[in-house]
Amino acid sequence: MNEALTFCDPRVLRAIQLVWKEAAALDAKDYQCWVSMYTDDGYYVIPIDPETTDFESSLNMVYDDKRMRHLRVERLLQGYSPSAVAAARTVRVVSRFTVEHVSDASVTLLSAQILNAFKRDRFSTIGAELTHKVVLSDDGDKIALKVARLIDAGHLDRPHVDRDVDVGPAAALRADGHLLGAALPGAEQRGPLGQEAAAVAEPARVVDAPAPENRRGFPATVTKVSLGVALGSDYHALKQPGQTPSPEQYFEQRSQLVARNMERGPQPPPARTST
Amino acid sequence: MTTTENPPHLQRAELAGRDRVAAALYTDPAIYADEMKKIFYRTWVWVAHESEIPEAGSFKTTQVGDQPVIVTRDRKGAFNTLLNRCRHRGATVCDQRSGKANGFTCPYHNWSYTLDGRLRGIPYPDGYEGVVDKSDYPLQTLRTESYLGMIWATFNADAEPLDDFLGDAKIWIERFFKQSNGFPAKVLGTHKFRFKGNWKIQLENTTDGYHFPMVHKSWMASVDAETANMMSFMDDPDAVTHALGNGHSVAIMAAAHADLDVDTGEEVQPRFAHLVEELAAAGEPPQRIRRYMRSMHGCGFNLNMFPNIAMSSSFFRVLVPISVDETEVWHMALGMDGGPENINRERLRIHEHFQGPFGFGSPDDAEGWDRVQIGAGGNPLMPILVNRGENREHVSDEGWPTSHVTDETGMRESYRMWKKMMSDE
Repeated sequence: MNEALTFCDPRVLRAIQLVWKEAAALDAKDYQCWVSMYTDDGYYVIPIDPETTDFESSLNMVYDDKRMRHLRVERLLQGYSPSAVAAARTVRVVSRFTVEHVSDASVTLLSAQILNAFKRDRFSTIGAELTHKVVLSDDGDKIALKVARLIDAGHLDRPHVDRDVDVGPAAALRADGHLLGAALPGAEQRGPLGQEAAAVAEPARVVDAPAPENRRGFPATVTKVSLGVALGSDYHALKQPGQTPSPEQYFEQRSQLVARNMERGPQPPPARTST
Repeated sequence: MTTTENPPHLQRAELAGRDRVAAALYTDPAIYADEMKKIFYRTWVWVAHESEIPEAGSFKTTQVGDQPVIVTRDRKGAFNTLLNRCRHRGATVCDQRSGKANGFTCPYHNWSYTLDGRLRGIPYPDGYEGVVDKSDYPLQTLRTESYLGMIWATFNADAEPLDDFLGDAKIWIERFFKQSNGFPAKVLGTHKFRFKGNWKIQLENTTDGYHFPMVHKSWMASVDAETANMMSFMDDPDAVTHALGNGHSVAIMAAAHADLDVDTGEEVQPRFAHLVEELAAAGEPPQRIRRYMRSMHGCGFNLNMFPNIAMSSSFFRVLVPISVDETEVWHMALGMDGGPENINRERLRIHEHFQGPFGFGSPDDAEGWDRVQIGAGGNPLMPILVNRGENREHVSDEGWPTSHVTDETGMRESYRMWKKMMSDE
């Protein structure tokens, strides 16, 4: 197949369309949409080693299977992460496609991405080489593998590099941008550095039981204290007096909370009444 | 923008009190320049772990303070720290992060040096006959000493022996490496990132148990209940911080894991069940498997050593000052050299989950640090408080000032050392 015909191939066009849809979803911070674009056995990877393909045996910046992708989206949307709450705005351009493989079952595309980000009066630009393996299906095309190789990844741990490798959302921007937190309207008002931290800092509400005596043994049980720490003021809103949740209840409550948070989006802080 | 006059530089050391320090310590470029001279050029600065330079000819590049250095292992197996600066016109002689070489050749006029820094060759030497004796122009060599594979270097020929400088921190270095279960420890990979803030903000953070449930709530919400429980030390009376002297301190978050030789009878975390199965199938004895599982999260404490290295639960945390308001941080993941690969892989996943520019923990730390730097510019003389837990600080049986792990005993120890060094001529 010659070059001109490659980009007339409807299978290739479907794959490019999906890659662009993904870029748009990320710029829009529509992480629910993003996470639904992957196959169940798909991986999303930002490697450190510029050459490796053995991601499992390497330290990566991101090595996400389905479970980690969902946890990541929860983190970005839930409002508990101060960096996600203060995430930058982004515009990314993906182009310079080449087709590595095409069949009726899947397409593998290589492309270049330039990501522009803005946060706290600072712009950053990040270049990356992308690889997408797209699985074609009548039920909807999906991403089976995405590898984002940042052009500075091979030099990331060189101390004398005149470039700016920020962390936090600014860094998230510097990389592929998938991990950029949700700029949820009003989220800062309920972020951990604000009202929630204040709630956690009230000892009478957080620690209403003595420290568990069995702490040294690390039993596989969940204490009120750790639940309170893990869930913050949300936990106290749910907790019934005199009740110690079981691990099963912990996970049930946690998933309910996550579902509620994800559905309703951020809420203004409750009015605090002085007593 | 400031709301008061700048502090007088001659009284810099006075800006650090016992339980509070002026915000100018984060923001004043003149103080930063003084710190380079009085701290980073005078004391022991951590430069490498031996596994990063495993063979004769192995090298890595890094910095001591703001100066570029090469750390090498020479033909005799000795560690050398060399200033990365050609004696001719000053170019760096090595531009690689790490690698293996027979020596270093300057790209400018090709002066070449051996692994221990001797000047080996000068091209077209006729112009130097009677002018340059090669033995007079080696690369500048820093004093280099190591303890249990941890390598430090100093520009200061008169510095006390590394052994004395580390003091009681050595007890905890030894305990830290118990997570290697008898195998040599090995650096498996490094996350590197920068934040827009002063280096001491990072130095404080490693001994700051207080921020954990607030800043890392999103991480806590994403892990299994047992791991969340392990890190729920806020009201655990066994979770303490000891000041160890010379600016060093240890913050014990999970006391049951402070000495991994001790089996406290805890249940193996269900999240590691697949590893237990694999290890059993490979014929590992049950007690050995329990030992491996006990050390999955590392050692249960953060050992914070002044001024630039922490051995933090399961990884090294290195700080490299870039400027008064910018710092580079390395999070170096560790594994067992020759140990079970499935455990090394699982440790990489645990590391990725929290650390690095895309982890569920580090970006939230950095968000706080960035905002400290911005806020601290508001009034350089208004104190930064490090007085938490003064009311319950006591001296332990070992003679270490001690308080709860959420208290700021470790920070007070760092600033005590800072003040001592900055008071020197």
